[in-house]
Amino acid sequence: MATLFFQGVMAMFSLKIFTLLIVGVGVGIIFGAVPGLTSVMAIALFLPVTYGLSPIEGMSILMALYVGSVSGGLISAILLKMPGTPASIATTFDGHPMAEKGQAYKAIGIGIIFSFIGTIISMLALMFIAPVLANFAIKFGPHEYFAVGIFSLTLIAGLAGKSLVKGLITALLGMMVGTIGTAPIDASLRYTFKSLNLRTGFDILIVLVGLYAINEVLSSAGNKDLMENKNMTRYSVTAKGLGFTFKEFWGQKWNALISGLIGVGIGILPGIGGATSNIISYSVSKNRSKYPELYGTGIIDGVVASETANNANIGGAMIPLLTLGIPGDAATAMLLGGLIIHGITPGPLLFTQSPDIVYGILAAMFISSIIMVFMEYIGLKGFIKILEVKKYYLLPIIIVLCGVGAYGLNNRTFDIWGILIFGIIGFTMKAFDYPLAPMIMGFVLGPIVELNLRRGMQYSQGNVLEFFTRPISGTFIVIALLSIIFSIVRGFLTKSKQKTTN
Amino acid sequence: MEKLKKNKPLVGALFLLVLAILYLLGANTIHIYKGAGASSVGSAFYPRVLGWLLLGLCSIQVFTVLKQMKAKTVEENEEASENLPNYITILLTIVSTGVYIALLEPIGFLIMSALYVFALILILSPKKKRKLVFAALLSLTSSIIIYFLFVKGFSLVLPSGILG
Repeated sequence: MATLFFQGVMAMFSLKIFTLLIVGVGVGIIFGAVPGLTSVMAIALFLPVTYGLSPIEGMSILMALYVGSVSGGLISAILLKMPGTPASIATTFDGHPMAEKGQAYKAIGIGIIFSFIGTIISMLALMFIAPVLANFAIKFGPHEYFAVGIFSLTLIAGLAGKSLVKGLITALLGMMVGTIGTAPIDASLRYTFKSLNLRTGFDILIVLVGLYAINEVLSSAGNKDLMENKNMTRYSVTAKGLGFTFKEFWGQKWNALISGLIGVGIGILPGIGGATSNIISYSVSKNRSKYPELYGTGIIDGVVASETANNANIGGAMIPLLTLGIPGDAATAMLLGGLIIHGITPGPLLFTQSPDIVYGILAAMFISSIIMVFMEYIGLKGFIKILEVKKYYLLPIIIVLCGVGAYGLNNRTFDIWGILIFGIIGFTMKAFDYPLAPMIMGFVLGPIVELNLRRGMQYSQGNVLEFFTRPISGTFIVIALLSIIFSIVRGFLTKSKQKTTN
Repeated sequence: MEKLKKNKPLVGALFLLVLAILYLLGANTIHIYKGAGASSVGSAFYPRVLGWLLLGLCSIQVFTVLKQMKAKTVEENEEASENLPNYITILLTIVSTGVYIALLEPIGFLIMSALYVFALILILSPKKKRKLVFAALLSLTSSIIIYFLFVKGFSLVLPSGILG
């Protein structure tokens, strides 16, 4: 493993890949830092760039974008009290008070270093957990994949939003979009309305770019304050060195480790991404602290918890993606699309068939996180300048680039219509308070569930019971049922709690 | 507007209910393979399950919303209305994007993108702060750079339209 990783790292030092990594991290940080631009958008814009690259080159720049954008959010979270991406919401809690106390540079320094540590923790987790899991998953047949798919769906629907019913509804909507096109096994046409373009169904990238990138542009377009960069205050960031002492750093070791593990753990669970992990890890850190009352007044512990967890999410989310082909969140779903474009199917076989890709991804994560530290320290003033660029100059160009990416998939304008339509769908769903994450996961998992259900039925010659009697698949189905029951009970509990407080 | 805002959850749930019914009706038109080796789980089975589940869940949702609406009559309407998004700008963004996509192939990427970026900057920027010359230059250079970067640099095909 060590040699493979070392080879992966060496491969990163070709001039081309190294340049791609630097560009990727830089653009990623910008997209993370500017409110209204997100990780998914950054990855979406660079997909057409990867069409012409080799798989390793392509995945390297996408990983660099991912790592950079998750970390970049801390800059605006601390300086503007506005998280650049949902992954750094909890960074504002203590980061901004620190800036108000004149410790903006210290807060940013802490954020940068612990983003790095979070990435490294999750990279190690990916390195050691993924091969074990892949070894286990290699025995999976259709029954097991079906059960894992169902289990993942129940998790997402239950945890993604405030309402279980709404979460399930949007997951179903995603699964229904997934049925458009040619059916698996017997290739019947479904919901194509005699359109030739619909026969292939919607590409995952079209759905994602629409739901996440175009939707975000539309929301920003309707937000005047965001357009004109209101609420910008300048904080002094002129200081030298790392911004904090070694003693302060070392004092955070347990906090960082626990937050990192929370980030990895939440990342592994499909559908719940960095947007959740930073908040959970912040509250865990607060609960186990000796001075919880100081949280929110501007102490480094809060920034450490949030920034370690959100970057640790990256490696966690990569684990189910690489071993099972099930993405952990929206950004990894984009990476799934990126892999498929290059003809690579993620799954347990990836580890034996193309270890160069797996270790290339690991190495790209590693080098990107180092580049990220240097860039954020050295280029901090530049990134702050970019925060002041007017959104109404950026957004039109972003839509054009999303359009280029969509068109490049199949050379047809139909796909650009697709991203616009899914953008409108996503915007409407948000306006009606329906969560988006279950939809995209339903879209990814639905076809996996159906295909393996039908394959499994063929295997066991029409005997449904095998889905329950096979040990692994049976276990997952039981856990899936438990997860639904848990969500329902939790829903009732919070309702009765609300009633008693009222 | 006020009325719509109040009934929003109901409108959403009812819309999805109708969608579920249409989807189920659509499942009836799916051609089912009946030859040798046909399984009890055909191509229409899974859509039917999804349709019925959605129908059930939407019914629950409609029921919950109605119950909530009865429980609290005039409440929560105080949500600051100034935070309402600017729907006209959003609509204009959508329409201009639609026009852009429709004309992309006949007119070509270079011309359409420049026009589109220019138009969208005008739509999104506040009236007082419009800098027409800068917007024109930005839209022209950005579309030229994007076109040549992707066509020459990354060997992508983009519609050349009347210029090709």
